[in-house]
Amino acid sequence: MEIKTSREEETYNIGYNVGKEAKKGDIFCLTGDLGVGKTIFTKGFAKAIEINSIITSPTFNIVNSYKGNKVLHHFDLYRIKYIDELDEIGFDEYIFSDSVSLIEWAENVKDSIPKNAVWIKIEKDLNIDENYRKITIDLKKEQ
Amino acid sequence: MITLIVDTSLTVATVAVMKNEEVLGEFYINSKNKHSDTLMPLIENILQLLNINPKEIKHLVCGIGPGSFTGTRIAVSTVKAIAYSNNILVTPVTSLEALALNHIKSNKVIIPIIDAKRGNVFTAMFISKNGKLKRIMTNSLMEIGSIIEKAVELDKEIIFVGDCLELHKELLQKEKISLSKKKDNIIFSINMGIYAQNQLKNNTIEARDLNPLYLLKSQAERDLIIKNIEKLKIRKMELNDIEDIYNIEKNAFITPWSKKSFEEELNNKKATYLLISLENETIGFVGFWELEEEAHITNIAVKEEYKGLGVGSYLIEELINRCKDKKIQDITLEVRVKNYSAIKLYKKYGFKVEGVRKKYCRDTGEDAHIMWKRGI
Repeated sequence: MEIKTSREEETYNIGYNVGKEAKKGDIFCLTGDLGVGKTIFTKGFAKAIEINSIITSPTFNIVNSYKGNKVLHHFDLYRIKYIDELDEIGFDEYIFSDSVSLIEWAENVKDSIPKNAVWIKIEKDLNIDENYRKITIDLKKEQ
Repeated sequence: MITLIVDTSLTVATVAVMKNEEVLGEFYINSKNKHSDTLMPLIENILQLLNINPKEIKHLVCGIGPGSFTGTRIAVSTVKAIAYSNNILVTPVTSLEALALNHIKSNKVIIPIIDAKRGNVFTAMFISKNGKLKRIMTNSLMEIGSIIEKAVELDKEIIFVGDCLELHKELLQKEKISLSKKKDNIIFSINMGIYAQNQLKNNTIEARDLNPLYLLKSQAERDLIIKNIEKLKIRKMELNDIEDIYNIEKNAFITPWSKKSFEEELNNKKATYLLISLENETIGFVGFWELEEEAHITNIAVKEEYKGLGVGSYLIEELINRCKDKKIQDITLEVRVKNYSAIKLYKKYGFKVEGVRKKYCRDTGEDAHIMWKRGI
């Protein structure tokens, strides 16, 4: 599914709408360059699961967990270079759980991401407009 | 002497107190992921109800996992703190031993399994002899299929105990395997206390040496995966590879092919044999015959010490790619029905069971699945 947006609020709303659909145990992988609006998307996503805390980037601590009507684990795997580093943070226990996981930089450890994860890609195209964004949602739910 | 026993490695937080060999009390609470909230109140309350001052604790027993990543750390760090501040020794007990203790009266082989996600389990094997637990297999991390295979091979009465029996129920429903009842699938700290006193008298350690038990694929294996992927090479088998291939074949199959069969295959225009090597060491191979638009896999094997590292997956992927290049439509193979890890591998690549070859195995009379991957 492809959605085109031209304002930050729209990206936020798409995040919100995806978050509304999130069920316990779901895994979402969010990709896109710096400054495309991954954080805005995540804020909308978190709002939809009734999380009122301020969402900050987990770049340093790798994962932040929030409690709303479900638990949200927000990952930033930018600093993860090898798959076995995931063992050191107990990654599997977070993602195979009753919580919702939203993972940035999941492309670093693609092999460790379960097949049923939903991949969301946010892209800019400066040729069209500075604020133009294309959001692609890849729902390859293999049971 | 007062002993305090603590475990939070699975879904239950459990604490117990003993005075010498006498049991004074035990709490357990199925608090799921709330161990950090429940453990200290449990310890505080049990000591209060027994009218014991924390200073009187002279020995600690601690569950060190494997199990929940966070849970295990909660007991270990709490016990560590108590041990440091009171300057007392700790007896570590693994969750696998603790689970096995629930069946200490059984005369079956006791196999504890703890969910390690992605189809893997932490496991070991024990038997009970004169009321004592005896280990017959080291703590391991392996695929559920592999441990069931090992269990079935023992050809003894077996009981599985653990937190993921329900999850793997389908695979576990086999002859000679019984499954532990729900009430025996949790850890009771009091059993750990008695066990520590009976069997682990000389195993006490200092606080600084107390650590959660990590069970990962061994370092050598991890190094292989991470550093050497680019060194894995796949090429066609040649005459002077036959010795290596035969050695792998011999260890992998109950009725192996002879060296001569492999030599003949080299002259068979329809046959292709691919071998995979790591720095000139042959570590696995796969063979197939091309018959019109079908490929028949004749055999695939991986050297024992390289099993479970994805070498089989590399081979299958390469085989599928080569079949695609040759415009082959369908791939088929036959596999022993009890070869669970191979079946899992084939299923991962889209092979489906379409039939049965009765009495496939000449020695054991075991049947084989006929599997197909259609329209590659």
